[in-house]
Amino acid sequence: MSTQSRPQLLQGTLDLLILRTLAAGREHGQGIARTIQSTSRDTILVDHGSLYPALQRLEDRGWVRAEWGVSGNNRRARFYELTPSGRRQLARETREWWALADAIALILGPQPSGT
Amino acid sequence: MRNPLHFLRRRRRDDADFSSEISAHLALETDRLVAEGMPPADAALEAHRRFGNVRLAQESFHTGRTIPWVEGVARHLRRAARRLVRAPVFSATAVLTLMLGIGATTAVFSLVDSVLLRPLPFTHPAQLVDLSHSLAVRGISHVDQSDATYLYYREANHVFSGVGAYRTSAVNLSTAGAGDRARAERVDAARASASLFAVLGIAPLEGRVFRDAEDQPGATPVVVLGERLWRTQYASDPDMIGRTVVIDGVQHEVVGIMPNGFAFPDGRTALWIPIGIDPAHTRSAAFDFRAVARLRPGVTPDAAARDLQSLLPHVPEAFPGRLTTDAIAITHMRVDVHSLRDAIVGNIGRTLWVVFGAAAFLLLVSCANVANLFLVRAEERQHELVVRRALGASRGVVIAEFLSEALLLAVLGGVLGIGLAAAGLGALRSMPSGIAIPRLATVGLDGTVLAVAIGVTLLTALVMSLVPAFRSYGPQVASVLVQNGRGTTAGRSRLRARRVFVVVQVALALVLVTGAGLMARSFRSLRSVPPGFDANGSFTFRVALPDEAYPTTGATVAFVARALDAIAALPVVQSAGVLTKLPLDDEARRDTAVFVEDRPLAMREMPDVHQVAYATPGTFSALGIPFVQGHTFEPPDAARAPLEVIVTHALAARYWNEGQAVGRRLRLSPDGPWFTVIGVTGDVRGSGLDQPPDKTVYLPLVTAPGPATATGDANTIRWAPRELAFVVRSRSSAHDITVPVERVLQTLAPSVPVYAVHTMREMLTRSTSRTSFTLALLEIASIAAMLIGAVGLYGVVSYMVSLRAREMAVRTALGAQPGALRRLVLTQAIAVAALGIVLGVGAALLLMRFLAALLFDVAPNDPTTLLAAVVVMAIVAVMASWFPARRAAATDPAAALRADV
Repeated sequence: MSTQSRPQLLQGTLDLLILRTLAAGREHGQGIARTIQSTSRDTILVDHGSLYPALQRLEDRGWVRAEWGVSGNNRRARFYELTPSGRRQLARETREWWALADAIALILGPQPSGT
Repeated sequence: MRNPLHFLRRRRRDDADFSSEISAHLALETDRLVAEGMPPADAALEAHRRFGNVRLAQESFHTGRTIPWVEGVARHLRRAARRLVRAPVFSATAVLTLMLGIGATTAVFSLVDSVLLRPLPFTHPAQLVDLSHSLAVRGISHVDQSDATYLYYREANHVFSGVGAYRTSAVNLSTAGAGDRARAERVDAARASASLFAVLGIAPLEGRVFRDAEDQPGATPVVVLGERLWRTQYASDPDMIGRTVVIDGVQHEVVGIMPNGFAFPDGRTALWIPIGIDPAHTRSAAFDFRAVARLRPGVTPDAAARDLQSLLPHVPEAFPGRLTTDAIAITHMRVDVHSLRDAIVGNIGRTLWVVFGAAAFLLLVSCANVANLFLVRAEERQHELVVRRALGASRGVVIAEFLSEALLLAVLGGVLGIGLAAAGLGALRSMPSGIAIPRLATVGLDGTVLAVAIGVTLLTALVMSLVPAFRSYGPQVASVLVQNGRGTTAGRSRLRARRVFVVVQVALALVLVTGAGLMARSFRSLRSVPPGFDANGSFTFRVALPDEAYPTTGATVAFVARALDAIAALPVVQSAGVLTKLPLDDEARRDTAVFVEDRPLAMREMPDVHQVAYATPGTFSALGIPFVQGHTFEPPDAARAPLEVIVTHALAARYWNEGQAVGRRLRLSPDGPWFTVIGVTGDVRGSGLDQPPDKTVYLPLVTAPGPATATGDANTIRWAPRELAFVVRSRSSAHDITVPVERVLQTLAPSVPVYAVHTMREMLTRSTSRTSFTLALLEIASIAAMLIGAVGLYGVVSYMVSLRAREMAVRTALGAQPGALRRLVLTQAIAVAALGIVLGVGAALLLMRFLAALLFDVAPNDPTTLLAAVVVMAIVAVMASWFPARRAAATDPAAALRADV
């Protein structure tokens, strides 16, 4: 695995990615990690060890709520879903992200070809 | 935004729930990997691998979930307590060191706070000022107020909202019993103008204060009692207002009670009586009163002084008398307006700040030492800490461990220190001779002081824990492990940190030792100054003769003669006399202008001002004051008052050639009679041992007339003072003659109180009390700092030796002599101490200047003292290093080599 070449996640982006993933519907932690990995075409590998403390943080802030349930393959798992304030937070963080991304793009200039 | 129930919801989830979520994750991930075609055993491992550090996630959950510093602190403190109990020597040393540092700082801070910082207990105390005058006259530089200046300033000023006048005095208060059994007690009192209470802004507890009319002569005598006197003497009788009490033989009506905190002019004042200033009969040149005024808002003391200065030349117009416009101009009389607090606190401030500096130094030394002890502990635990860190303990946890240990030690040290401070202050307050610190009665551990003590404690904990926490926890985990595992030249960087602490400790201790040394030399010089009288075997007491019982000079003189005869008849008494101003007693001091026949004054020249005192023939031998020329007085005789004086050697030397004073004449007013000098005494340092010898004129107890300042303008009265100090010398200093002498007086005059009983030795001790007080405190601080510094040095050298145990063992095995090894260790230790000593000498040279005002006959940079301090520190350093050095030399090579591998 070429983990070295994977970009480091920017500080705070994990929260945004979790919220975005949950916007599609309720999901457990392992599912969230998998979804982020596959949606990013294996570019972003979520560190599982920091995923759960992050989920707990979001829960503490009231942006997600969680309850134990049963997964598709009959395993017990803790399922997370967005709260209304979590949706508002997602919208806000998405806006901020695009503003930041645009600003960075302006500074970096046009993307070199062949990447 | 935050849900108010958020806290509860957060508590709903516990660590187990979080752990089972992680297990669920691992199971799901394994399933997924198996589904992707991985063998189940590999899949489980890979799931774990991808998760990373499970414990770290759990810990992060735990600290994130709880209110971290409630649960965390409790847990950390519990563990820290257990660790400290397991290391009793370390804990006890640290706690004792901190107790000394925190205790000394707290005690001295409470002194500084109550004496110097805290506002006076009056309404808007910053507006209160003391009014006085400075003069350019030889012999006297400062006078307070006369009735005329007070009255004029009060009426004509533009800067005060009120002016009050007062003077301290002592009165005979008749106590329980009637008729013959009536006894009187001497109590401190103040004569106060009616306006004084309003100026200070304190209302009476009961009743009222004086009315303006009660100040006038002929008014009904009234008195305001202090709460303490009311409580102790009259059992807080609620019907006290309206009763009468007998003061100096006169019935006074009690009109009010002042509350307990009203300590004016000082804490001893038990009652207040009207000042009795009569605008129609002023004595404008008798500056017997003090004045306190309240500035109008926005007026500065300087502006007030300028206003009064412009008024001063007009005082003689309003109140004609001996204070003339000419006199004001010739003496360059200037108005001084100082804050009342400065006037009350006086010059004790410098002493207190010096002592405070010493205490702060001691605290620094303690902190450095405990931080050093912490470094030792960090090193002992280094292996454990490094392993734990490698296993995933976070850096914060390690720092929290040090912090909680430090906190426990500091709190324990702080509590003991506050106890020590309380005990120390108690001892200070109850010191019998008294050290003349103003406002001492109000000193105590109040909220401010406790807040400062707690702040100091917490700061101490922070400082001493963070240093080792950061030091011992560099990023190179692996290298430390390797170093320690091999035990070769480990710990060099840590050793450097500890050396720094030891250098600081030695330097600070040296500064304190130098300060104590300078004070000790001052004290010794002071005690070796001949006071001019013989304090051994001589004791004194005062009596105050009430006007009513002794209305005439004849009655007074008759009483004195009878008392002296009766006392002299006691078998143990060698000589006895009476004096109005004892040496080293500043309160009774009187100064007056002295006109010398051989020194006619030029036009508009002011005569010098000298002390005057009244004496009897036996006074000089009772005090042990020798005569260098001439002889003492004849026994006093009211019928035949001689015009004779005795002068001190210093006064004789001021005017006449050596040995030519007897037979010369002087007078005490420009037109009074001439007095002939019949004797010259040796030099007497009656104003303090650090002062030049007094220039005193002794008059016989009965004379005509007295000096103008004491008697007014009445030139014809044969004057005898009413407040007298008896001086009695016993045949041997072993005999306590106070009891028989008091019994004699009790028989002669039962209603006359005997008070202020002291031996002259006590007076002498008290006069040097400020120096001995500073000396004692600096000595304690420097000995403590030296001990603590020695412990620090011992610790570092021991550690140095233990680090090099292997090397020593190898050397011994190869045949090195114990002496050579000892020298090796000692040299290193002494190098560390020497650096501290050099820095300490530099610091001492810089800092001792602040001590200069407290020193006597020794320079702040006195080389002998500095050298002695260096030698003392060097000896302490060698002793502290000697034992570890000997241990190093005695290393058993086999054991050392085995233990370390």
